[in-house]
Amino acid sequence: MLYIKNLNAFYDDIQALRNVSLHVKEGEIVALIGNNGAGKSTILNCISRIITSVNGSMFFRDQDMSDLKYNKAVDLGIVHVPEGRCIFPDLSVWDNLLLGSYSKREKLSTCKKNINKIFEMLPLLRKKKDQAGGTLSGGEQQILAIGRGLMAQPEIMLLDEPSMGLAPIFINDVFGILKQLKEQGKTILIVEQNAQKALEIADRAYVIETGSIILEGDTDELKTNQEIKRAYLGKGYSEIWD
Amino acid sequence: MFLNEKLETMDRKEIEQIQIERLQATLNRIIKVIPFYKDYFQKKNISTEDFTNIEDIQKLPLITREDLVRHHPYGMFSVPLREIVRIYPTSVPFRLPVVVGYTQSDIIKLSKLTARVLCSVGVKKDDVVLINFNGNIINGAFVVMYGAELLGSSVIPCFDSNPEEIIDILRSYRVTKLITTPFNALALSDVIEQRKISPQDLSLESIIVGGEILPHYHQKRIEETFMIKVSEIYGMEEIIGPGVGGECEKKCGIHINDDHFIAEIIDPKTGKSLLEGKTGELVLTTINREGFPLLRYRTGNITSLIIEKCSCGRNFSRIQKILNHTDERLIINGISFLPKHIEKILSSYEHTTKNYRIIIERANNRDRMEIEVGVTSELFVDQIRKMEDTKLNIKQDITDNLRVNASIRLVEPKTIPYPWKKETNIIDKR
Amino acid sequence: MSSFIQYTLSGLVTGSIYALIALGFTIIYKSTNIINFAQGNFVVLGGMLAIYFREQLHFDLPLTILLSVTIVSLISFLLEFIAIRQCKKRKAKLLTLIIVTIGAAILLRGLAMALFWKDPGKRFPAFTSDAIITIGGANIVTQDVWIFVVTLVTLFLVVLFFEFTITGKSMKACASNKKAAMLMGINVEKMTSIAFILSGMLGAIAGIVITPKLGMSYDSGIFWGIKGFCAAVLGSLGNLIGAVGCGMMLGLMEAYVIGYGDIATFHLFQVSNYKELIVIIFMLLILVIKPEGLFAGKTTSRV
Repeated sequence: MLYIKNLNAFYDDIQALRNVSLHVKEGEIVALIGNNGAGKSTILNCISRIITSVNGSMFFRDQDMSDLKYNKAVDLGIVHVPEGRCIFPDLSVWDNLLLGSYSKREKLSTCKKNINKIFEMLPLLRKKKDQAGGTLSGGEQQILAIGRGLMAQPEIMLLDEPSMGLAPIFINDVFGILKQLKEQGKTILIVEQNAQKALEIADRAYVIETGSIILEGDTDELKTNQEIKRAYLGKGYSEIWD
Repeated sequence: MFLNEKLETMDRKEIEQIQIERLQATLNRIIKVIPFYKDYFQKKNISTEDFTNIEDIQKLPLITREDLVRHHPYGMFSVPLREIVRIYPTSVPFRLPVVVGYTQSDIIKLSKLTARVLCSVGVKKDDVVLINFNGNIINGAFVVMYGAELLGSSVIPCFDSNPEEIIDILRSYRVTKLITTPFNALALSDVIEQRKISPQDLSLESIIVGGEILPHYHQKRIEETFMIKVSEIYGMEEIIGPGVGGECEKKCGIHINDDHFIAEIIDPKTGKSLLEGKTGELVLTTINREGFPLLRYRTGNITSLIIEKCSCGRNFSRIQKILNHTDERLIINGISFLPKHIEKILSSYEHTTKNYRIIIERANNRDRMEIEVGVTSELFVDQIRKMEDTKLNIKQDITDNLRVNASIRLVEPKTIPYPWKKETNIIDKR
Repeated sequence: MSSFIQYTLSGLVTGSIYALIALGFTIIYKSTNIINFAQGNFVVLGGMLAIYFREQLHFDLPLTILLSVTIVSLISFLLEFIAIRQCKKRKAKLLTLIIVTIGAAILLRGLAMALFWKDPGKRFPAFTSDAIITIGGANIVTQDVWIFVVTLVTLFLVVLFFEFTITGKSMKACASNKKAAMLMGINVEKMTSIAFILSGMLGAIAGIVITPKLGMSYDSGIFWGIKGFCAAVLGSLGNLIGAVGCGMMLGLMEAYVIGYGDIATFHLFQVSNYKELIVIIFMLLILVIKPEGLFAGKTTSRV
């Protein structure tokens, strides 16, 4: 579905990605794991065309993405739920959701129907629908951000650090939602620092280090990788030997 | 049959995507840890960023077994030893050992891969599978066992059993699939013939062979004795054993698992890459190995590569049945060796000269080897008993070291030409 | 009492104009974070174009309004499209962009002078009549009613636009979180263009309604700009209601200073002559006490 080859991205003079190649197949959940600053979020920003100073080939369903503008990427169904939620703080939860469907250009009645569907899936949002987004707690904001992403009826969802800065109970909530999405057969590319959680939910994963991919594989294979255990799952050597 | 149909029937575009991804990831990993590649990249002034498509693989050096020997034991490992869960020294008689290491995830991967290959040659969940390997390819036996167990088959591991026992097991346990080496399969054929066992008494559905070259006439012999089909699986002990590829039910070559290996054909003399369809030496690159990645490893096998959709649905590239090897190895009834090994054995005897001749014949689809050994005239004037002893000792020595049977004839040295040259010293009448 | 009503009414009328201009500032600030110092010049252009069409070409009033508003909107659009967008593409800093608008203000002032006329105080007749209406002893002209009504209607439409149309909401979204807006597929550049067009329209409308009362000269851009800017800042930049409220408040304050300032200071100082100064001091005082403005939102983003 999504094919990326030899992606190089630059922030001014600094090269953030080096020859990154990855792909996501339909119905697959793929995780990108790696340290802070390894370039995980940059990859997502390249895919959603927020960053355009890139070279390399990117194809989404046979459509060349290299000259695509960010809003056209959303039209194609590439929906990016950014790091730090990025909800609209001074807009109500309802308006946040409504804007999620901006790219669909649907009638208001259809939008309302879709919002109700989201409310069914994420009942927490219904309770808070008239509250300004900024007044929600971090976890609620994350759920709102996911709900807003779903409003765009994504073909592929790019999730950037959905568990970052959340209380453990909300981390479980968020991953509960992701599991639901997985069961619905959604295609998701997820960036996570919480490698443990990410590997639990994903089918495949890429490990990225200083802008290059150093490992790729099915999650059951990667879970046994000692390097990943040590570096990303937070297990020291002693624990491995015990 | 497919283990994971989606994965195994993906189109070439997807395959190439996976290949470049995994090649790049492998390079990014090894460049930091394997001094051999670090030095090579520095010397050639290239970096991992120069690898943007599959053809760029030609920028990497070809690796031979001798290179591995040079970095023996752990020089080509790409992870610290503590992460290796299995160490497997592969040794061939008269050759220096090479050691292969697997990490935990390598073991999982190669089990999956072998399961896939077994599936493609027709092994099913409800099969009773007898795995009979011996000696120096015991590692392959383990891999096959893991794969078959992953498939859910009932596995009977039989290592180093003699053919008589195997036949009994085949009969009494209603074994449906036999996975073995060509040598063992031939030995079993002999037993079947000798004991006049009717193949109908066995529940065997097919025989799967791997580990050594299987000439057509041997395959025919096995198929005729057992009255069932023989399928081939392909692998190398330095790579992962028999998980590299296997025949599908259409029997139109061996499918290489392209998502784990990149196959190339090179001209064995010049090392240049050859086009698709041309016959040359098969070079394999592992792109999904953690412990011991091998890049552009020269297999020594002569074959050709076909990249086109197979009627079974796979888009994986195929290699033709392997019938030759780049070195001058001889294969007698499924056992391969180099003539110089015979030379080595002979030279350890007194009274032998450097003159010898190997005559190979085919009789009843079996190979027979006769070695004419040139001996000094002193031996001829001695008693007959000493001559007989020498003959017997040489024969035993060859069987012990090379596992092949040969009949020995002592001759006067002047009857055979010297110096050693393959064309004149080996008479292959097959 | 009648004088209080008189001062209040005239304060509300000037306040309306300030409010319209402040709205222009606010809309652009909201969607781009730029303070557009050319906003006052849009008022001037609107007024002068109206005089030109009405007095020299003798167009009728609706056509005059239509043409003036369209032209000013177009100029505003071009300012964004040519200058601002190109600078942004070259990754210019926000301050640079603000300086660009100051440059644009100077350019527009020069153009107005060169293309039209230099003599100050030209005007065109009131929309309907010059009749005087007496309310509670206070006298106002009909044009004042027009000013007031037009402001209220415009304000109403603007609020309607931002609260109830998807485009308005997307513009709010752009202001609220630009990255998120981009990821929703909202074309941020398009929204910026719309914001500039809208502010151009508001500026032009302000210019057209005020000209019959006060006349318009090429250099009064700064005057209107400062007043509108003060109102927008006091109203916590980016808040529509705040901008209008503070615009009205400034107008009223000026009127009261003129009306009662001299009496309050026992005619010692000619306070009414310093009304501008007083208003600005007042604004500075408020900003010292409450730097976020009078209408700062209650919501702040929480993590």
